[in-house]
Amino acid sequence: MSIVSVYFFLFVLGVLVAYYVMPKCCRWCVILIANIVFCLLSSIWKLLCIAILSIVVTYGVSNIVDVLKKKEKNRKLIAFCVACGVIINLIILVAFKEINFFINNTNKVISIFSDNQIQLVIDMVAPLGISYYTLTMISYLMDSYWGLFEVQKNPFKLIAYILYFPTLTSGPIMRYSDMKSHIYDGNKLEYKNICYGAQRIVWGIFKKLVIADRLAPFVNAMQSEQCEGLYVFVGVICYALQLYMDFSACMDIIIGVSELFGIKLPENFNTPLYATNLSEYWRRWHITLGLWVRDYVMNPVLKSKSIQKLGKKTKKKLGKKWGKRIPVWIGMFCTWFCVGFWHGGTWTFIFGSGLFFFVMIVGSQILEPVWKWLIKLLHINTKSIVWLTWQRIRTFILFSASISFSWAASMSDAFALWKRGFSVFNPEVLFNGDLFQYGLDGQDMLIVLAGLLIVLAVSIIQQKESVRDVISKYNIVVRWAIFIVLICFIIVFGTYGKGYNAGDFIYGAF
Amino acid sequence: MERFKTHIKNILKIIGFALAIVLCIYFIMKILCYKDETYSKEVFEDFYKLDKDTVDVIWIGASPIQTSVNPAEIFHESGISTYGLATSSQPICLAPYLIEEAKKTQSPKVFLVDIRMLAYTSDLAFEPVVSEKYTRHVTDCLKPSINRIRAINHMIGELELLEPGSEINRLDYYFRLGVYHTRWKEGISLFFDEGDQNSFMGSYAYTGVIPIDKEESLQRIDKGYGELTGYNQKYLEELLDYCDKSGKSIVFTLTPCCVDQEFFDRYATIKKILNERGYEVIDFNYMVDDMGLDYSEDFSEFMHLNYKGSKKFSDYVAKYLRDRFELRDHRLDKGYELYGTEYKQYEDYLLGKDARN
Repeated sequence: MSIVSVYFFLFVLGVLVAYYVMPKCCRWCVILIANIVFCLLSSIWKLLCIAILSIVVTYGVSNIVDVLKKKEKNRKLIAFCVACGVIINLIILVAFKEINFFINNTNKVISIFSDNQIQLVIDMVAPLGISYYTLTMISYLMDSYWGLFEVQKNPFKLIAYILYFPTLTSGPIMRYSDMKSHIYDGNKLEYKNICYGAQRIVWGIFKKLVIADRLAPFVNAMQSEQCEGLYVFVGVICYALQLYMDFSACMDIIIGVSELFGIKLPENFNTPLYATNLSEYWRRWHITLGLWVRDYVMNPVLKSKSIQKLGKKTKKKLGKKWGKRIPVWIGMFCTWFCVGFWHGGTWTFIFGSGLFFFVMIVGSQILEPVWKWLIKLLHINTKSIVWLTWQRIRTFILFSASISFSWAASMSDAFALWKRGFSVFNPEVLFNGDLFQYGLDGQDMLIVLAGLLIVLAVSIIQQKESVRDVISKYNIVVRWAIFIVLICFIIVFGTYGKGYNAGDFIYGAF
Repeated sequence: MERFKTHIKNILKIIGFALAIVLCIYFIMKILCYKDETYSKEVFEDFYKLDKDTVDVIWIGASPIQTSVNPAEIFHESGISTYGLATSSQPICLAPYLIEEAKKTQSPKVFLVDIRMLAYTSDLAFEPVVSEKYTRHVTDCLKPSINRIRAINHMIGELELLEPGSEINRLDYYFRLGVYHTRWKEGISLFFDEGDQNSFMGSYAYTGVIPIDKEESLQRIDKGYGELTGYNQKYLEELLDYCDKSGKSIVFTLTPCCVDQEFFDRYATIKKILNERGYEVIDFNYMVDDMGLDYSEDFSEFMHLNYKGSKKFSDYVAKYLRDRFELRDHRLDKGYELYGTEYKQYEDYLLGKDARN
C-alpha cells in the first residue's frame, strides 16, 4: 500500500479513530493490530511470517541475554548470544536482499581461475521494510546488551515497536529507548498533534507530487545514451534534487502520520543543502542511518582491541596527528562500506552511496593543509556568505556526483555516463529550449522552480525556528489561507491520476 | 467545562477547514472540468438546461447523430422538440443508462436508438470504441447519481472483459481531477471558456466535403448478412433485454452513411435481429432521395454528413418524426425558448458558411 494513496490515508484515519477511542492502556494494541493489517495489505502473509520470525529471534536472544546478565554469567557467553542474534538477523537480510551480490562476485573471482561458475540466480521478494526493521532490531539487541533499558518481556509489545507501520516503507530507523514510552504509554488526543501532523503530511505530499514526481520522467530521459555533455550534468543534478525531494517528502508524510498519534519519530533530514562539507551533509541527510552506523559499526570498530593496538602503533610511527587518523579511517571505511552495502547489493551503491564519501572525506583531510594554505594565500573570508554559499554548492555537486553511480545500472554504465558528460561541450542546451524535449516542458520546469523556491524559503525559516511554529503565531485566516493555497497547489499542479504512479518512493526500494 | 468548550472549538475549526477545502476543490473542478473536441460537455450541459417534460424525441447514438441531427433546426422546421444524447464513438452499452438519465427529467414519446456503432469495435483512428476515453465522454458529463454509478460500474466490467488483468482505477471516474487537473496548462483561457460557437445543443457541424458515388453506395444496402465483431452481439442482446423491460417506446434507426459492404452486411444482421425481437428499425438510407441528399457535396466522409447534409437530414426528419409519431408543434408554447436561441446561433453559423462559400 503506497503511503501517498487514498487507501493509506483512509487506513490511517481508521486507525486514528480506533486509537483514540480505546483506553490509553490499550492503545499500543491498536498500533500492533494496525502494523499487522498494514503488512498484510502491503505484502503476502508469508513475508510477514519472516518478519515475525526475526522478531521472535530478537525477543528470544534479548531475554536470554537479560537472564544471563542477572545470573552474572560469563560476559563472553552473553556477547556470543548477542552476536548470534545480530548474525541471524543479518543473514535473513542478506539472504533476501544481497545474496546475488555474493554469488555474482564469487563467480567473478572463480572466473579468474576456472570456467566453472555458480549457476544460481535467486530472485526473492523481500519482506516489506526488512532493511529498516532489521537495523531497528540490531539496535535493540545491542542497546539491551549495553544495558540502556529494561528488556521488553511482552513479545507483542516488541512487535508493535519493531513493525511500527509508518516506518516500514522508508524508515526512519528507530531507537527503543526513545520510542518505547511514545508507543506503549498511549498518547492523549491533542489538537496540536492533529494539526501539526496534518500540516507535515501536506508538506510531504507537496514535495512528492509537485517536485519529485514531476522531475522523474526528465531524470529518466537524461540517462539515455543520446544525452551527452551538459545533459548528463543537468540530469545528475536533477536526480539529486529528485532524490532529496522524494526521500524527505516520504519522511514528512511518515513523521506527520506518526505525529497524529502523538508518537514523535526521529528526524531524518535537517536541510542537507545547507551542509558546507560532505561530513556535515551526512549529519543532515538520512540522519538515523548515519547515527546507526556510527553507534553500531564505527564506534565498536574503533573500540575494538585490534584497532586500539593499531592506533598505538601508528601514533608511534607517524606521530600523534596522523597516527590518530589511521584507525579512524579504518572505522570510516567499514562504516561507509556498510552504508553503501545497505543501500543495495551492487558496487554502484557500495561506491556511490558509501565509499565515494570515504574517499572524499579522507581526501579532504589529507589535503587539509593545502586548502588552508590556499585560503590564506587568497585572503578568503571563510565566514562570509559568499564562501559559505560556494561551500554549499560544492558540497551539493559532490553529493550529486556520488549518487550518479547509484543512478546507473552498473559501474561501467556509471563511467560511461561520465564519459558522455565530458565528450561534448554544449552549454547552449541551457538556453535553446532543447531541455524541454525530455518529458518536462517549459511550464513544468517553472512549476519545479517555483516548488524548489518554496522549499528553499521554508528551509531558510527552519534554520531559526520551526515553520509550523512560525505559522501558528498568525491569526486563523492567515494560517488557513497558507494551507489552503498549498493544498490547491498540490491539487492543480501535482503529478497524480491516470498515467502517473506516485506510489513508488525511491527509498522504499531499499 | 473549559476543556469541553476547547474540544468543541477545535472540532468546529477542523470541520470549518475541511469545508473550506471542499469548497476550493469544487471551484477547481468547475474550472478544470471535462472538455473534449467533440462537444460532449455541451451535449449534457444543454440537456440539463431543458425544461422538464418538454422533449418529444430523444435520440441516442454516436457522432453520426451529433453531426446529422440538429435539434434547433428540427424545431424551427416543424416545432417538434428532439434532443440527441450522443457523443463521439459512444459505446452502445451506455444506451440504457442514457435512457434512464433522460427519464429523470423528460417524458419523450419515443426514444430513438441509432445502431451505427454496433457494426464497429474501433473508431476511425483504430482506437477501441468500448474504452475509457469514450466512456468518460458520457460518465464525466452525467450529473452525480445512482444511474451514473451504475453506468461506471457496468463499463468498468466491460473494459475488464476486453482487457483481463488490466488495472482500472475506479476512483478516477469519481475524482475526475486525477484526469483533468493537467488542464492548468491551458492557462488563462480556462477562465474564459464560453462554450463553442459551432455546437448547437450538443450537435455540431462537420465542414469537410467528399464526393461519394451514390449508386455504388446504395447498392451495398441489405445485400447480405455479416457477423457482428467483438462483443457487439452481446451488447445488442443486453440492450434488447433492457428495452423489453423498460416499457418505453424505443425505435431503432440507421442514419445515412456510405460505409463498406462488410458494415452494411452487419447492419443487415442487426436489423434482422431487431425485427425478430419485435422492434422497428427506420433505415434512413432508403429515404435519401426524399431528403434531397446530394452525395457529391453533403458528406464529410463515408461516416458523417457535413453541415449541408445535416440541414437536409434535420429538415426531413422534422416532418418525418412529426407525422410518424403524431408529435405536436411547440413553436408557440412556453418552455422551448432554448431551441429558439440555439437556432439563431445556428442561422448565423450557416450564414457565415454560405458567405465564405
